[in-house]
Amino acid sequence: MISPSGEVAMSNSDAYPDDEIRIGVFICHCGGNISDVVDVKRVADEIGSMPDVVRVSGVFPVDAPPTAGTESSIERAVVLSETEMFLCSDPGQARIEKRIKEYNLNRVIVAACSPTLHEMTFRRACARAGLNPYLFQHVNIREQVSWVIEDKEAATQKASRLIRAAVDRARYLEPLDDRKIPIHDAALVIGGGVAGLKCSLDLAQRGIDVTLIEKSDVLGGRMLELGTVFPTDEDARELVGALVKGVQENPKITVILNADLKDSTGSIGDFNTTVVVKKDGGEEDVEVHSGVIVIAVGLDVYEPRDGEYYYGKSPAVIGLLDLQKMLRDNGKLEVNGKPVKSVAFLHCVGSRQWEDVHEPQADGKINDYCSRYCCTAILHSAVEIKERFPDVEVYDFHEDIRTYSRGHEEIYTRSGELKVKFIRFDPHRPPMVQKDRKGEAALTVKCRDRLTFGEDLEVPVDLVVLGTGLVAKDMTTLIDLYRCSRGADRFLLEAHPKLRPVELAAFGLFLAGSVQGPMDITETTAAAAAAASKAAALVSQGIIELDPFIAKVNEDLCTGCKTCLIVCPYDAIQRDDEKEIAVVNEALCTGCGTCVAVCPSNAIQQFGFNDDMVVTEILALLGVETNSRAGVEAEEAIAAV
Amino acid sequence: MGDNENSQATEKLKVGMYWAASCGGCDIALLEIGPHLLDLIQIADVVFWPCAADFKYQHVADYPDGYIDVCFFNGAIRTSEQEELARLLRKKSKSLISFGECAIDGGIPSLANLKTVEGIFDASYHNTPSIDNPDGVEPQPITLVEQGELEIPVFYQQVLRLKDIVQVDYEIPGCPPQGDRVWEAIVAVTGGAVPLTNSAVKVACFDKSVCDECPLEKKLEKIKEFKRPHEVRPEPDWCLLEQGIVCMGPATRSGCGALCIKGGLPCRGCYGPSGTVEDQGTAMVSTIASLLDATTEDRAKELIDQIVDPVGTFYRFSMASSHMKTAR
Ligand SMILES: Cc1cc2nc3c(=O)[nH]c(=O)nc-3n(C[C@H](O)[C@H](O)[C@H](O)COP(=O)(O)OP(=O)(O)OC[C@H]3O[C@@H](n4cnc5c(N)ncnc54)[C@H](O)[C@@H]3O)c2cc1C
Ligand code: SF4
Ligand code: SF4
Ligand code: SF4
Repeated sequence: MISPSGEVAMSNSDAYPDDEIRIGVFICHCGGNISDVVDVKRVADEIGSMPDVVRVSGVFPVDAPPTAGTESSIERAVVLSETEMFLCSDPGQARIEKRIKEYNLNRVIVAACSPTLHEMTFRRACARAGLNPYLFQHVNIREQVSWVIEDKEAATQKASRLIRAAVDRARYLEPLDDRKIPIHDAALVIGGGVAGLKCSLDLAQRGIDVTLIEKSDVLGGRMLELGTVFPTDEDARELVGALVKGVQENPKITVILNADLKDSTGSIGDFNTTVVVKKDGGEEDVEVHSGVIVIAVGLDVYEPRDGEYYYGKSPAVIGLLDLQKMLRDNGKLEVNGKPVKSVAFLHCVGSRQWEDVHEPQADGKINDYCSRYCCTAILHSAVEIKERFPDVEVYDFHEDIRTYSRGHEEIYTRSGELKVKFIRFDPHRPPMVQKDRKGEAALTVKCRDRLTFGEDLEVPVDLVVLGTGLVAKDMTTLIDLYRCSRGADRFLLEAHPKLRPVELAAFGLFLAGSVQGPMDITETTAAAAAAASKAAALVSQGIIELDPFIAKVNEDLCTGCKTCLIVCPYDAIQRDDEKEIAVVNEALCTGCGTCVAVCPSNAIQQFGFNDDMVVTEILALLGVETNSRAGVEAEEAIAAV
Repeated sequence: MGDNENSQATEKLKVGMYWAASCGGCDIALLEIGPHLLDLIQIADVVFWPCAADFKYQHVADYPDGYIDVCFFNGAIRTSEQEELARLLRKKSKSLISFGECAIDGGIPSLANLKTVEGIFDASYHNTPSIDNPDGVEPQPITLVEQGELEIPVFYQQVLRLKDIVQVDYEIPGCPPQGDRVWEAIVAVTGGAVPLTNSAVKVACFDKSVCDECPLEKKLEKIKEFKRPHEVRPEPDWCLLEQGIVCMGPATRSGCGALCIKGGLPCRGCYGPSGTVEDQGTAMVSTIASLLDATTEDRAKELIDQIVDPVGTFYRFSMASSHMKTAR
């Protein structure tokens, strides 16, 4: 039937009935990326001479050795196995299309690079040739074989084994259709800080109706508490004020203040959110219907524990936010009415903690991450103090200086020029703040300086400013409602930081700004703009197509035991109380497969990944012949005696 | 059942029952059809039943092929004798039915697959305190004595299911199968409602799991502590598993009518895996794992460690169908 490596013996496609599984295998040289290591011709030959599989009955062939009368029909046959220099090229794709028609192929396997790169390319090629794109199976023999295995023989064998497994799997592929979900033309933005404001404006500019809900009674968020901000030295309230004005004047944006989330149902394209609004001493529920949701609830500033660096014991120990409030509107630098003559800044307070040095937070974990804004915020304040109060001595106690962003290093340089004094501490022996017993100043900061020879310093100062870090908000309701995942640092996680930034794993939900981790204003607005354009792109499509790899419940097997309801991370399963079975919401299901794995009755299968496919593939990878396992084992067991 | 109709008019059906690696409970379970036993004798002649009547293997060997209409086979395959009989009865029977869990999924005997033959022999012939075997003798398939060769069956490396050896037509699950259900199945097979030949189709049971027949309700609560049945008085009407009592219900085929649960005890899993599940133990593990009230690995481990004999519990009746196969 086959003559491998490109030559084909049969060309009459009518000779094959449609119900037979007819597989075409295409193996790519990828220039020499693959073929320099993998002997692709030999692989094509080996695959081309794979025996056809005889049909056996039963769910898993293992259970039922072939019985008389059922052996006749061929279950799968590789009718074509050939190689090509660049399959993704136009001629390469054209060849696949031509072969599908010529040989009436109903399964196509391409062994090439990573599916992330070209799976869609080849699916589309299949579709152009009239073949359902999900009857295509991709095998990665570049990233997983030729690029990582030096030994040519081993690489060739692995490539061959992977393709064999795909061939066995391919017979269970089914034609599938993408899910088509209509998107309601409106957005809900949660949180009225700079992120929420920027995002709302961008969405409205693209013609989308926006409802912006804010928990407090005023728009602006954290920036309302700040003075001049780095790196542009602009007034924070003026900056955010301009955005607030823009939002308030925009007819496409509805702002609801004093509003908090209560409930949310629905899924991408059709979210229904219930918001509780405080009004005249009472409360009122408001319903918001939207196609997408952007979460922009920001974060909190670390609150030092009582006594941490003498915080709470002396009014002369304050946080960065307190300093901002002190300095803004031309404020004076004084404690209890007494002018301050010397200031010490301490970096990394509540950030970059160590298990053996710092006490854990309420959830038992330390904050081991860097809060990213504080180094620059500290130096920016240090410069401001030096410029406005040149006689004040400023000391900077740091573990490291991380002024990484554009325009931030200049602030560091400037602080040096202004003679801010830098002292570097060992994170395992952080500085100690005490009452100054000599009475020279309010406090002393004791520290062993790593920039000199390990000198033990005692610096008397009038004011200690703690470079308090940033921590995630308590987002219990939100996480519950939207099934958000959180990182170990408690901030919300994007679906993938590189491939799906600002998106949550569940479709139609986006993250804007510092809710997903410490960010300064520049980064916050960039993230908000990204979220807005992604959300807008989705809404303006009107309909979105989602891949068909979702879970489906088999009514005949489901007992309604609810195990799957408990585990679905996206709340995509409900129980139909009348039928007493589980039902998957197609729009909510992300195809994560969790329920499929846990259902004790095998009552849930996932399209594209059903048990037959997965088991067959694994057995093929292990080199076990699927339809003779039982027999082989019996013989082994007996022969072993 | 075309070929059966004519013969039925003229002569009675011929049925057989055999026991391989089993406890004998299945033979008794067949008696549990109670008054229907008389009905059975009305329509059928017993042509082989070592437990109840004196037939020799030679009798069976002398029957023409396909002579037995319906043969119930209970017990798993551990020895060459059992394999030989499986093959013989397959040849002599129109319909071969796996009766009970041992024949279907290995049953309790297949828990021995957790040990190697060497391990089993060590325990049986050498290391158990009550054993007195100074010469370290072990049974040999062939022993030479003055009078000639003595042969005993060979002990295989693992316990196999009947369907691992021969093609099986039907399977009646349970340890043992429930009398009422068994009678229904007998009526169906002998009465011609289903064809005599099939491919290991399960009868006398349902596809869904025991939860389907279970009267208790779930509260969607996670498991906070595991307890053994004798340690607690379970709250009525509430799912035992959620109360921390390991109940095999979710991973077990229904058909028993949730007998144990109605009697206040958790399901032990004796009907084997439900639906299309092959490996009952992993099905149960995934269920239990997803129900733990644990967000950290340590906590999950702490909970799991409270389960006594997990392998024996989750695979009590189905080790031979486990993907883990056998100790090597
Ligand atoms: C002391 C300090 C100094 C700083 N200095 C600078 C600087 O100089 N330059 C710079 O670039 N950045 C600076 N930053 C960082 C800057 O403040 C943040 O990057 C920015 O405010 C983040 O904006 P956001 O919208 O993500 O969050 P936020 O400003 O925190 O806004 C979140 C909003 O969401 C609302 N909200 C919360 N929960 C809900 C809910 N459930 N429903 C509805 N609304 C909700 C809140 O009320 C708030 O209005 C500084 C930060 C601090 C703490
Ligand atoms: S930004 Fe600087 S002060 Fe803040 S946590 Fe990171 S290193 Fe420490
Ligand atoms: S876990 Fe399986 S049997 Fe249980 S409710 Fe979900 S689908 Fe049904
Ligand atoms: S695959 Fe199952 S668990 Fe995962 S999202 Fe879909 S329904 Fe939920």
